[in-house]
Amino acid sequence: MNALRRIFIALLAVVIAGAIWLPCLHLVFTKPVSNFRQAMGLSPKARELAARHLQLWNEPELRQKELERMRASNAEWDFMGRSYLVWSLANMALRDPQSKQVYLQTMDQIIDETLRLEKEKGMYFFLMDYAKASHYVIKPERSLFLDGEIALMLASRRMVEEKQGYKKLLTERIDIITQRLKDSPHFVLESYPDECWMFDHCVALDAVKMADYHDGTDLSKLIRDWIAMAKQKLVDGQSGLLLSSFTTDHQALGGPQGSSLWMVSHCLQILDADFARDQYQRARKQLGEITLGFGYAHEWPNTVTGPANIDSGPIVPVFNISAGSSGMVFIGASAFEDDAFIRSLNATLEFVGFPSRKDGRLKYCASNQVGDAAFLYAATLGPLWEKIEGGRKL
Amino acid sequence: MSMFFSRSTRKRRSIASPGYLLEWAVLLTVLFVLAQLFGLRQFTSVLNGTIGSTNLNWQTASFLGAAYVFIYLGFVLVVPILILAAGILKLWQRAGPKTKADESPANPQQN
Repeated sequence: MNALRRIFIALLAVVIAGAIWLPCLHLVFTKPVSNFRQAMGLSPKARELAARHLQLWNEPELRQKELERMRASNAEWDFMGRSYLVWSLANMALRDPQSKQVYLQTMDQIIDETLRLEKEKGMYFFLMDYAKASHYVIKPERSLFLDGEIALMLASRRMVEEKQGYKKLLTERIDIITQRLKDSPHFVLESYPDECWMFDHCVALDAVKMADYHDGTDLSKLIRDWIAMAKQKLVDGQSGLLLSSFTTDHQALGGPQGSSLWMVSHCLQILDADFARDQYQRARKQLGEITLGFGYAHEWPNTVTGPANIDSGPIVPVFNISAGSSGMVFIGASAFEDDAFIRSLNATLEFVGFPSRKDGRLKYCASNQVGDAAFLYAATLGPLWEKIEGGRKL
Repeated sequence: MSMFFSRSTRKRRSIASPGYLLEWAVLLTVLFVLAQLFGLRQFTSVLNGTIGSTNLNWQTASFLGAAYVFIYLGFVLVVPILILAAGILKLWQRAGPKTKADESPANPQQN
């Protein structure tokens, strides 16, 4: 009986210790928001993440190794890692003009290599294999995923400093996107065969908006019409959140997904600011969580159920934590200056992102190049959008 | 576990003693240090579906990544709890009346 009593007391001590430690754990990993993002200049984390990415683009062998690892799972990540890095570097160049030339050089290197690969190997090089499994509805086949992100890369680069060669490339890409949109039966374009993505449309429309800024065109009506159509036909009735993917005739494919919604709400900021804020607030309420000081995000709202997929990443049971949504949520939280959420998200990243620091360079081992590039973008976003909102270039 | 640390001249600790909890804390810390030294942290990229190394197959890389996660969580979550619990137990033993079991040969040291 005494032995049982002593075991019970030991267990009680463990329970009390857990009750003390678990609520305190986040304090070990919590840092000020300024460690992640700053209104002016670059945060320490942005500098460390950028140093690692610049190293990747300066050391071809290292980059090749990193890309091979990602491409083994998803060829898209190779492409998106490039996009997020170029968009980040554009923001960084505007935040840190002294280093502008270094950033511009890397941006040009990435853009030129991406365009070369697209030309030499075709669009399927950056798409997942199932893109070849069926036929695109809208002919000739193109992926808005590629067109939109490449256009936004070119436009972002030109926001930092004009480059004549890219002016023509951007105009061509924007013409293709807008003409195909106008010609499409339901005002949407595919990224994969009969699979359209809200993320890709919003990125493409941001590029259109930037092209207007650069070249004095006025495609604002097309943007307004598209947003009006999306509000009417591409919103999930129960959650009020935008659908993430849908068919060419507007049939929902996966419901609202956190892994794309956070970026969508950010992209909408320069297209329809009120709608953007509404989407972020709805997503924050239905997908965002803070438990014991650690922030994270679900992939789907309560009203939708879906299996874990390549976008959601693994789902942690019980808490329904989506790795994909919890990574991308940094972009939404940063775009809407949700500092309390950023602080708790950052604590989670430091806790289970497995940071690895070496010589001023930072990478998250639980992440990959595209994930780290998205964190870098979240840590630096702002100046590009502010410049657009400031009005047309003179 | 206690046997792992025990010496032939010393009898096994009671599983309800502060020393026993501390032994576990030390073992988990040693495991974590070894996992860190062997570079297993790199394999946690399995959490996002990316292989930790192209030199290893998926199964091995996934196993190493999962092993690191468990060892890390053991270090970060369990070790502090064990140390705190050992402290609480020690205080309890000091404050409370001694039982026969506390003085028994099976429990020679209440660290």
